[in-house]
Amino acid sequence: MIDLRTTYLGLELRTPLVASASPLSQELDGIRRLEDAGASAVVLYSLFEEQLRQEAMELEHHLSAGTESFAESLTYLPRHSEFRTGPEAYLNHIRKAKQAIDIPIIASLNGATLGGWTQHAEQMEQAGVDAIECNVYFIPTDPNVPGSEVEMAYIDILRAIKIAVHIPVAVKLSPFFSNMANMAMRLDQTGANGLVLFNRFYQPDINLEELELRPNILLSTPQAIDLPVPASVRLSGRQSCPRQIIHIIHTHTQKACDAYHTVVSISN
Amino acid sequence: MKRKFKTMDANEAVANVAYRLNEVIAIYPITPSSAMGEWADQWAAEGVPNIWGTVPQVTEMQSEGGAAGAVHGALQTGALATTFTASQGLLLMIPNMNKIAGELTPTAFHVSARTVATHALSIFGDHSDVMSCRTTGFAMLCSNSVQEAMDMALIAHAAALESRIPFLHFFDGFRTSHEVNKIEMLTEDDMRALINMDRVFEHRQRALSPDHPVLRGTAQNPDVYFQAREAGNPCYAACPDKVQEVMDKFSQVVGRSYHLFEYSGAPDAERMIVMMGSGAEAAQETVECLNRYGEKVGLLKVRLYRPFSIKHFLAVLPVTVKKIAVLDRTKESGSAGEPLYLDIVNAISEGRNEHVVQLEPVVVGGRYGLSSKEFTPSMVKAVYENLADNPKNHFTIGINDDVSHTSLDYDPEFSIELEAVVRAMFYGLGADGTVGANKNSIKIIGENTDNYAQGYFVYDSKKSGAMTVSHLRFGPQPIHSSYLISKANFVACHQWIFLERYDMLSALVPGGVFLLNSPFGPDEVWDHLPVEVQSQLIAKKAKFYVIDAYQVARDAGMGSRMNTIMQACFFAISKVLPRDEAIEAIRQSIRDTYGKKGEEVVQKNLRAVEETLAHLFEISVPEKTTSRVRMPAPFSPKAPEYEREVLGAIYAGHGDELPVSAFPCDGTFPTGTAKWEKRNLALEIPVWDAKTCIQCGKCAMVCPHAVIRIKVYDSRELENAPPTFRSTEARDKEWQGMKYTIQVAPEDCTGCGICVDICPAKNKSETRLKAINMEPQPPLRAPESENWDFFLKVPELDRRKIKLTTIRQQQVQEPLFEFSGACSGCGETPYLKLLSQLFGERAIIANATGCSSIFGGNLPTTPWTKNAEGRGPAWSNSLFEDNAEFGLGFRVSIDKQTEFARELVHRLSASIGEDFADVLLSAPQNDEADIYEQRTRVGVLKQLLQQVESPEARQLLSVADMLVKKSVWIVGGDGWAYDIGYGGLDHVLASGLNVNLLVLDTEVYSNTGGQASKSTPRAAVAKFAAGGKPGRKKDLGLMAMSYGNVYVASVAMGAKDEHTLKAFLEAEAYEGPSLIIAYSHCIAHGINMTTAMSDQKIAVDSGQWLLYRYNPERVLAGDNSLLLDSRTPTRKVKEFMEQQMRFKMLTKSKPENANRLWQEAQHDAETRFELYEYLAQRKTAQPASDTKPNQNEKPALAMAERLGGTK
Repeated sequence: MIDLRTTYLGLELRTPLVASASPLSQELDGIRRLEDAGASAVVLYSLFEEQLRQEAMELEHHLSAGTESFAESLTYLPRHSEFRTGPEAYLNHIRKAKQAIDIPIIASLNGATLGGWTQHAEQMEQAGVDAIECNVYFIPTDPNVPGSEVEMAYIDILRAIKIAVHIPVAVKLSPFFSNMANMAMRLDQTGANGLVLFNRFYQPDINLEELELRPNILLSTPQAIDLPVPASVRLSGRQSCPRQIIHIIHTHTQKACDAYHTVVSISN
Repeated sequence: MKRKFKTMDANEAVANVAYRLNEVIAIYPITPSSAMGEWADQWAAEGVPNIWGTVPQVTEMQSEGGAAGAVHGALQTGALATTFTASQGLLLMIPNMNKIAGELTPTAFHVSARTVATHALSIFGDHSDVMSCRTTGFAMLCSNSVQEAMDMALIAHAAALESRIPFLHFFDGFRTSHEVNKIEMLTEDDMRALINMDRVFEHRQRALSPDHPVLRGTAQNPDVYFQAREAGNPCYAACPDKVQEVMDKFSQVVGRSYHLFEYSGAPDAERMIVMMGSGAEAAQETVECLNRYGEKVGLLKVRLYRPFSIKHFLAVLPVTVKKIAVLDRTKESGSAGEPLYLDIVNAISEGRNEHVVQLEPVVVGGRYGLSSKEFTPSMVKAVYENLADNPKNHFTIGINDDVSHTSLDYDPEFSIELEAVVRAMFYGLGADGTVGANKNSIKIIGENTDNYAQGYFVYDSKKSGAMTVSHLRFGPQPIHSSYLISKANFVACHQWIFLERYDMLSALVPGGVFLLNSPFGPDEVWDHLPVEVQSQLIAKKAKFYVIDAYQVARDAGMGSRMNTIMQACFFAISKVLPRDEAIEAIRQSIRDTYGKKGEEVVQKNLRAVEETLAHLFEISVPEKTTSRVRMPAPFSPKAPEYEREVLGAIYAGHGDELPVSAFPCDGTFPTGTAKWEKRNLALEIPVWDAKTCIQCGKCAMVCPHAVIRIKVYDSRELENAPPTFRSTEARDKEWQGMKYTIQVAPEDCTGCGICVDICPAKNKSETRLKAINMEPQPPLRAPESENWDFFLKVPELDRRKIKLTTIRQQQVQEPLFEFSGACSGCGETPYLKLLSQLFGERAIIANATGCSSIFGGNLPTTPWTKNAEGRGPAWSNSLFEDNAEFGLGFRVSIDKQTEFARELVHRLSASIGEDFADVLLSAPQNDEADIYEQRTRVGVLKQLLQQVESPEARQLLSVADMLVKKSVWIVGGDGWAYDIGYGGLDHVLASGLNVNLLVLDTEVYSNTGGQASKSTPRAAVAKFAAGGKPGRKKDLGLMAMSYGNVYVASVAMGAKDEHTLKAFLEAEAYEGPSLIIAYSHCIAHGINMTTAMSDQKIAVDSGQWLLYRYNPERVLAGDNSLLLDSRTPTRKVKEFMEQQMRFKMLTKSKPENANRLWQEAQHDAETRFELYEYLAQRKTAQPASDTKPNQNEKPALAMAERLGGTK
């Protein structure tokens, strides 16, 4: 038997195959199946701070819409003293997942505010997760924001989280940096325990007939490896932190949203 | 131990006590008591225990009768049980109350006393409901204030246990039930100290139990009933003393003293008022004031009204009293006097007979405060003045009775408000956060300082765009002023538009503060004020402040909710608390209030507060007025005189000034009055793009308020059209050569945007636009009003020429339901509008109590209207529980009169012409053309009858209109149809009579604030189903189908509008009972009201709502009666649920429940669809040859086919 063990983010892995963030990890059953199928670690689906904020605003809006207006119906929905509009569901999920499987669990976080990044990261650490993957997923749209500011944002987020938590932190990157090597070096210097190459953004489409936005998830093809492998080769030997390449294997099995990641550990 | 002070209203205070002292709470919602049940339900859901450590069981029943029955049963089996109700609800409990009292079962019912419906319904407070219960044998205990309500709730329960007599504890609806005041809380230890556990155990011992079985509810005969009835006398005789003992114990434990009758005022008073309820608080204030000025007046407050202890009454009556005025807050038509008055007269008479009372005081009685009519110190003074010299008896106070001349004059300027009391009035728009902010301010002041605080909120009768007026008082002493503020030192106007409509400054005292939310900056605001406002500010030397709260709210990301902003302004200006302390208190309360709703919300509110003070400006009031802006008249000047003078006055807030003569004696009002209101609510209104329009008619169909109308007309009508009037060629081939216009009523639109959402057309050159688009209203107001007026004059297309089977044509029919006060985007109103278009000119509508009766009939105006010939729907709301029977009564009566008319035609055939009589009697009335002809014939008949001198001719003249077919509609919501009115509805379905029942199914009790009904679907969150409705929705349609001869349709206009139209046509055509269950989206669903109509498609596509038509006539053609119009579900119900907060919120409050219930709901939808599919597809037996589904000659099927109704 070939010994496939490796380490990632300082965690002992039994194989280089890590299941990256996907809807499969939304159910405990999905997580167990990933473990059974041989994954050495599971990166949970991302917690989106914006989604939490939006849900909280939406709830508040509907609870107060039309209230205190007509004497017979001063409110329309029952008062609850407890609404879980924060990350509680996700944190509970972490706890249950930790109990359900033996392999490491890595939480994925997409914060929207600096405070949100650090607060949620702390909560995830307290919930018992083994590491955090920062799914920065930042799509710049403001023409007044120069590239350097975009890069600084990544650095600042990483720095803040590294102060807030003790567990390892990986940063998931988009491929669109001017000098990936420079970015990697700076992140490494700021304390990243791992870099995840690369984030594939959703590609929404516009239906020209209806003039409607159509959300779109295009599964990766085998050609998708062409981006991260050379990048990784370019980075090899130049950083102290191990890097992982996200190699999305086009799979012809089961559900639409499956995505498996190959972990290739390149260390000095 | 120091007790806590908290601010709350009486409903909450009473619920607090009742919840802790009971094990079973069975309720039914009714304003203004619903909140008590809702508090109980919330606490039970949170697992709050009663004083014995167990969580009470809270159950919502199908009606108050059911609640009383459930309470009776719970008591009889040994539990401590209670209920909360008011008004008609209390009346429905009377039979059970008689039993409960007859069986000497201890309990306390808590009633927020509300007007019993007579010539009209009223949700407001008076004693007519509790007075209807005098004969039940319940003890009656009255509270006058929020503090007393809490105290008496405990006393009532304790006294009931001690005496075995059930108690009715009551307090004034709204005035006390909804008044927020600072009170000292009773603790659980207080409650334990008052409740004697021995009594509780005795109660349990008496219970029905197989372990020690007894028999109750026997039937008795003339030989023994009387004696057995008298056997309970000793309990009643002992009761008053027992109540006083409990009150004395209460005094020991808590420190506040109460007595069965309490006298206050001059010990040697000569004139005295006797009364009970919140009015006594105002009277007490006035007595103290008058006595300070040298008067000698007194007040006797009645606390224990039943059993009425003459002994205790006489004991507190000062011997000096020569004249007594007894004030009743009820009216008993036909009685020689109102109840309390008669009791006092009797008490004095018996006292005299037993030589207890030496003098013979003159006793007069008067009525006040019916339906929360104000009762102020100036009125109290007038009552004393009336007593001074030759007192008028059977008087009224507070109104101007220029018909029967009962009213006393009073001086409205007389005020006893104290300088030390801050009196603030806030005018806000419903749902803008004003009331919430004020309740918060009261909390801040009441709970953080030694000051006392009081808040009372006046709401509007409209469900959207409504004005709220908050009356707040703050002061160093407890506040007993149980009346509205008329002399305010602070007035805030939170909506600029109110400046044009309401006189807000008349209440401002000289030197007072006026705070205005203004879109105009400090440099320009003065010139934009109406001249009436400017002159008042100048005359009163007011201090004037402005802030652009909407701007601050928008910048802070709060949308249009400016509550925290205005609250911060109030504190900053009024200095009730030092500024910094106030701002910090607001910040803390933001964290407390919104903390659980997420950090985002907290941050936005805090940001808003930060920005507020920087945007608040004081304006120095100039010496002279400069404005050219005048306040417009409330009602359009084109309105007829009665509408203008009376209804217009009510609309402008001057209803109090109208005298008795302004009103009909029997509660009858004209229809067609909503059109005069011109509310100008919408910031944006839809604008029609004729070129892009495909003339499908959908926008007009879905418009909840009938502000979008379509006309097709001859091009000659365009002569003299206003310059911006839009028109185009009609596209329908039957209308070739004619012109087509879609016109919007700019001043009546509420801006819901549903029309734009539903429009299927797209502007090819500017792709974000459709054939109808929202644009800002102000610049369009004048030109479009002109267009609207012109449009109304264009003649309606002859109804005989309109093909009813396509929406494109049908929507040209004139709607006779317009501009209701329903919520913006309401889901019920489009169905009613459709009904009015199709059948309105010959329809009589029985409307159940609920949203539809409120937006349909809440004074001053009604949306039901008439056509140019003066015909239109006749409409009435009887009660809640009797609506189907009410409509059945219509049908039976009309059928009888029609039969009589036919008999008379036959008898008079010689006088009117044999042939003519034949045609009259045999003419078909199957479509618009037929009906038109018959109507013409009846017109001729009436003319002929004028010439015939005979009693029979006069009879026929009086019923001749019945010869033209009438359409009877029984309309209501799901609360009526599935719950309280179901018994009647079922009976009407079984009757086989030709009536149409329309159920506007919002799947919840919308009007009373979202309580669950049996129509609420599984997993939906509603009041009394806070953990998600555990069970399935009742399948009313399936139950109705089981009769076999009922037409049943399930429709959803937003999913399939043509299907809805077909169903209405088929229902009317079917000569038998027809039931239409119409899916109605509602604000209580927690949805986006703009897309709500088109979102109905998801309900149907997921199988959550089925579309079908069960037509018994189909059997004649050899088909299965049931036609399933829905396709196999293509989506999961989850997709439907994720759109609606009523489902989604469960995932945030109880995710485990949500998981399970959502799965069960999916299963429900699948199995229900399978069942319907099976029912629709199976082979059915042919009917026996001599049976027909109905007795009429022409099958309705064929009729409907002619109208194009069936496939």
